[in-house]
Amino acid sequence: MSETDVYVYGVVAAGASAPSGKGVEDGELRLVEGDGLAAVVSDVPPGDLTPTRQSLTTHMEVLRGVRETTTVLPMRFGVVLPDEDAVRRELLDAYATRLGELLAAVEKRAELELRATFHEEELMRSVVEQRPEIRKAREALEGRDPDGTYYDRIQLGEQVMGAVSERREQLRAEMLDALTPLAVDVRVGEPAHELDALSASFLVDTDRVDAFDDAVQELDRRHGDLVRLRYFGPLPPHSFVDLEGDVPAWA
Amino acid sequence: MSATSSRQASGVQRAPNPSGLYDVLDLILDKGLVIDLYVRVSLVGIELLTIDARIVIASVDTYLRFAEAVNRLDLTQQGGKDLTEFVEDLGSSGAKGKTSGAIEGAKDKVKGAFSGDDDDDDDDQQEKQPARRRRSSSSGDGERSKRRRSSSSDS
Repeated sequence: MSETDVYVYGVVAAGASAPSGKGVEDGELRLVEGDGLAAVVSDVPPGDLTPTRQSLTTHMEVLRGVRETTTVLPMRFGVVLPDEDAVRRELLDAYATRLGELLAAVEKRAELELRATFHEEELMRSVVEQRPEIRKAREALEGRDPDGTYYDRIQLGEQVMGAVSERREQLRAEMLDALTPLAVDVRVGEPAHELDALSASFLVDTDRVDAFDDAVQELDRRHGDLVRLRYFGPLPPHSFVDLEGDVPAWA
Repeated sequence: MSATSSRQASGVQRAPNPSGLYDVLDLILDKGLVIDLYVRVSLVGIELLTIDARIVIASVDTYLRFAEAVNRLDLTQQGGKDLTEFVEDLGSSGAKGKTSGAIEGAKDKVKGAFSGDDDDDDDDQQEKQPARRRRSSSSGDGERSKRRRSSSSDS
């Protein structure tokens, strides 16, 4: 048993310049070199990691720093191996072919993230405008005692929910139609909140990032009244790498 | 998040990294390369977050909230684009208060869970377990969505 364990941030090609600075739990960043591949690591105390805001941010920042100088395959937060030998054996050697393929496939590509959240007020307004039956149901409730209209209100809310889902689908399709042609691949998440409109990750060729920016700006101009957009990147390809399963078609 | 006026004239800016906690978690707890056997994350905070902070979409509470939101609309203000004043009048007592209230509540919970300070609680319940997280799968969107946090956190 070693006194420290080895936390892994990501995998790069061998010969990449060694990262500097501190990682999670303040360990010095370094490379563990294998055959043609290397892992960006730092030492951590043995035991489970508590995911604090700081450690999560550190993981992300380390990867962002590495990405600025070389192509990197990001690990998920919290991958810890017992020692350097294990990093070589269990990660770099065990998955050498896959890692090599992925590194080549994501070279000169970046992940961009787009999130869209409805402005509730505007959403409700558009729903009432588009759905006469919701407007009627709403008018029927006006001025009535809330206790006596519990089920009517649930019914109205259900109708609103239906209209919101429809609006979400519309908007989502429109946004994806505009952005997907600019991307190599896309992953779309399910809404986690009733006001979520879109949560999508795009793998984009580095030389098309500007065009992608423009397309996002255009979507903001067109839909900014209805949704608030959050847009970030370029990030390492978190959403597009996997040690198992089929190699993606673009690889 | 309720205000039409909140839209910046300069448009949406691309940030280098996500800053909201939900967006961060979504990115690095759910995605990336993983070897199941070697994931060592204390699940205490994460489970709290993924179960409690996720606001259930189709529930009676949501229906009632939507009904209330739609009832609150002042339809005499049919301007569409010129609602700035109306929206500002609503301030924090209107639609915004209700929605962001729920989100703030969830956020507080998350922050509590993420303080990393679990010594003062019942240690039996707070027992740390090595995480055996499912492996990443590019086709696993359904599974992934279960773990997706509310992404509506305001910065």
